[in-house]
Amino acid sequence: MARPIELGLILEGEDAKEFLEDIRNPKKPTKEQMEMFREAIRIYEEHPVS
Amino acid sequence: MKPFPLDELRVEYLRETHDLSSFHCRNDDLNDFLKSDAIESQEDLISRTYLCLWHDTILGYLALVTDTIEVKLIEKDDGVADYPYPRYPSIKIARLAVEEKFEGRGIGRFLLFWATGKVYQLSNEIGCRYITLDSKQESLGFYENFGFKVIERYAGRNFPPMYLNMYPIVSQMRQEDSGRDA
Repeated sequence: MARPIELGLILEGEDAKEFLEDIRNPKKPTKEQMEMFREAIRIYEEHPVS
Repeated sequence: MKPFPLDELRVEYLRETHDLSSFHCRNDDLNDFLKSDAIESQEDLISRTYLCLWHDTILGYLALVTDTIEVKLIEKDDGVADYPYPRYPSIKIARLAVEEKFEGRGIGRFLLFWATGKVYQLSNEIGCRYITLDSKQESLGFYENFGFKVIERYAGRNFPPMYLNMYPIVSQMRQEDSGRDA
């Protein structure tokens, strides 16, 4: 049996502070990230599950 | 080696009728999951597994589950004022594997992009702001390029958790699209 799927990511300390800061002041995504995200949507739409 | 042409790839739900015997990736745990646990986990409504195929050959797979990111209470002297929710909704890419013979031909990228596109579409139907995953150490850079952030506390683990905040990307995309339409 494989290791169980771990659910529920818990953030504490600096990781939690960084996460919350990212909610308050999200960093502007890079041009590359935007392009990748748009490509991801396109790939999903062009490959429906059968 | 050349990447597989995207238009020749297919995605199918994992079914009992799929022959998984020849699938082999470099990670034993990911092989075990697909061959021993994935169907049962699917029947139990814990995870859903998708296969990437080229003709009848399984090139890779991924499994998705719903997840949450929980922010543990922060001490007052941490300098962080109140925050709206203790937990945030996410979809987890619980497993992602590529057949060893076809590594380096764009299948991992295809699966990550496909899963991201799927989560984005789901976020139009149900609230979901984050994508989470547990990365192999050697794949950290691959996910970081996409915008995933590793949790520093667990960075030394075998499979350190990572998350991607879709909100700024989706928000920017909507702004760009509305500017284009205007």
